[in-house]
Amino acid sequence: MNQQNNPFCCQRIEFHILQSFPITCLNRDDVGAPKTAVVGGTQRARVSSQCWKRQVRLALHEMGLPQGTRTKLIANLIAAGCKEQRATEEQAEKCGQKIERIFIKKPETKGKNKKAVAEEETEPEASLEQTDTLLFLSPTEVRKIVNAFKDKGFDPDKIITQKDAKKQAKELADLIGKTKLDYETDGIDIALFGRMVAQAATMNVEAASSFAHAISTHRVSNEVEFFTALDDNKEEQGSAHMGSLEFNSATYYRYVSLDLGQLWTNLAGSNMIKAVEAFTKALFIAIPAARQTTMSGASPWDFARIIVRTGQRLQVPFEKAVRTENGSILEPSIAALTTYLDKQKQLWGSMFGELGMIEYGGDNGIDDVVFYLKKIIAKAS
Amino acid sequence: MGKKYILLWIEAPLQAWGADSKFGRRDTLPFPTKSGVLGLVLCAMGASGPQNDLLAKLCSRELQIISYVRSKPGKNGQARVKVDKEPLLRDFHMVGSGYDDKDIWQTLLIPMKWDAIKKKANKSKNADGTRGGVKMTYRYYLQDACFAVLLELPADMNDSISDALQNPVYDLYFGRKNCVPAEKIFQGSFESIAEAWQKAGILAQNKQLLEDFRVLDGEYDGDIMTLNDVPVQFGEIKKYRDRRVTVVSS
Repeated sequence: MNQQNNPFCCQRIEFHILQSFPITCLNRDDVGAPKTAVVGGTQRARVSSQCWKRQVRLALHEMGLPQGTRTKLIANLIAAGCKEQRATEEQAEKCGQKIERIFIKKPETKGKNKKAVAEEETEPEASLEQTDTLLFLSPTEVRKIVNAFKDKGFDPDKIITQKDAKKQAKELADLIGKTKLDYETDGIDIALFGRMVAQAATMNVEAASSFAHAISTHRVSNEVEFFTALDDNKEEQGSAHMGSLEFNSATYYRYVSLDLGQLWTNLAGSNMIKAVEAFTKALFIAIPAARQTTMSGASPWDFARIIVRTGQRLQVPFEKAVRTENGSILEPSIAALTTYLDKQKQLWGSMFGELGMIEYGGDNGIDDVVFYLKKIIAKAS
Repeated sequence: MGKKYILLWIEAPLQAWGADSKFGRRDTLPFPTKSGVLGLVLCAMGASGPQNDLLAKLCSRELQIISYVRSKPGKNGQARVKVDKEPLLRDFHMVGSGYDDKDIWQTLLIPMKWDAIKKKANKSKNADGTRGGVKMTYRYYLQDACFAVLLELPADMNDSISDALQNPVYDLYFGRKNCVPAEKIFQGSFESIAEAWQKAGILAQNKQLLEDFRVLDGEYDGDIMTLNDVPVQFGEIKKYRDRRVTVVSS
């Protein structure tokens, strides 16, 4: 309950996103059909919260977070820690480098291109691009590593003895992993998405982000595609294989909220701006993966209203299914969404607690959205 | 002495009120549980952890629920009639499938056992070419449900709880975090049950909803059920005791 020092207490960013997909089966149930739900008495297409959330989480991996900087940051942190413990400049740097290198994923070489790899290692820029996302080390953990190095006279090779990067990672994990993890340990993605370890509650992190199931704004019935496959060298008449695929096509309403107070708690107040930027961008690029090879559906956001506010969170119910107007389902969906939110804002008055709002689509692209959110976070922190 | 009642409006496309879910099947009752409602209140107050004292003050307070359904116009200008409730939605979910256990980062996402050891990854690949442990779960949801919930509060807590519900510390949700409210939850605090129900009646009328059933604390005429949903302690180790409720159809 200790929220007194939390400058973001009670604040959240709400993403109200509309996104249309042509024929797809973004999220399957256990018989392979696209998931559905009934809202306001009509059947809708549905993508479960966990499905899209997972893709956003995976997308974080490849973008937003300046991974190079993060690795570098760790090297510097370790080096600074070592220096504080009276290591020489050279020792400190070596220790930092050692830890950093564990997390640099080298390209698959299979022995034939050793020269290129050697060059890459001497060229920090190139190797940073290869950097994989990694555990974000907390001050406690840095201290632990530094102390281990100190015990061995700041000779990093005595702590990290293995040659193989994966084995080194395990050594490091063993070194830091045996005690209670603190909130910063697992980096921004776990701060955002939380972590539940059943019965090892000390490792739990309450998620800062929360996703509703994406539900179409309009009535959707799944359709069945019957198909046959022919054998090119056939000896008998008829098809070699028959099957059916279910699919649909829908304009989804996605509600995602990012609890800034919780995020601040999880990150112990640091890296708020980075986390918000990475999360927003990941939210933008992530698309459910099901059946993408056969039905490739990679549509971007069509429209979004992003609100920074206090007060109880609120999704647009689209209880009355949107109907096509002038050949468009998107336009009336946007109208329904904005009208609903405007009306709620008016009805709730001060309790709506709007601190800022930006709309994606029209004049603003995703960079504008990110810029705007970063500005708000910077102002509040 | 010194009682107040708050009216909560619980409306969302999806809700889940689990009372006795085990393993991979996550059920929902057809109406909000007491633990769910008090959880909502504590979330709003930013009260995490066991909260035994707070729960001791709240858990025996009266709770009444009205479940509403949508209506359609009656034939020949008759009064509106109820529309059948939607069936439960069953959501199929595979936990931890498809992560690459060769990737340091992705291994973090693979489910772990209680002792924080990763589920032993399969030596061989799964059918879809992935590795690692997978857990299959079924989650049930109420679709399109709408409830008015009346909760008795000690008078001295009325203001703080009312304020908290309007400016909650933690995100408010209906049973599962993905069940996001689609209407203002806090609908006022009242001196008597009758006043609160009057307000609920107006809201329901505006939304063209009809009362379907009520859930009352205690034993009355109607279907009596025993629920193990009175929270005594939240936090890591949750403790509940049971209560009798009566479901009265209207």
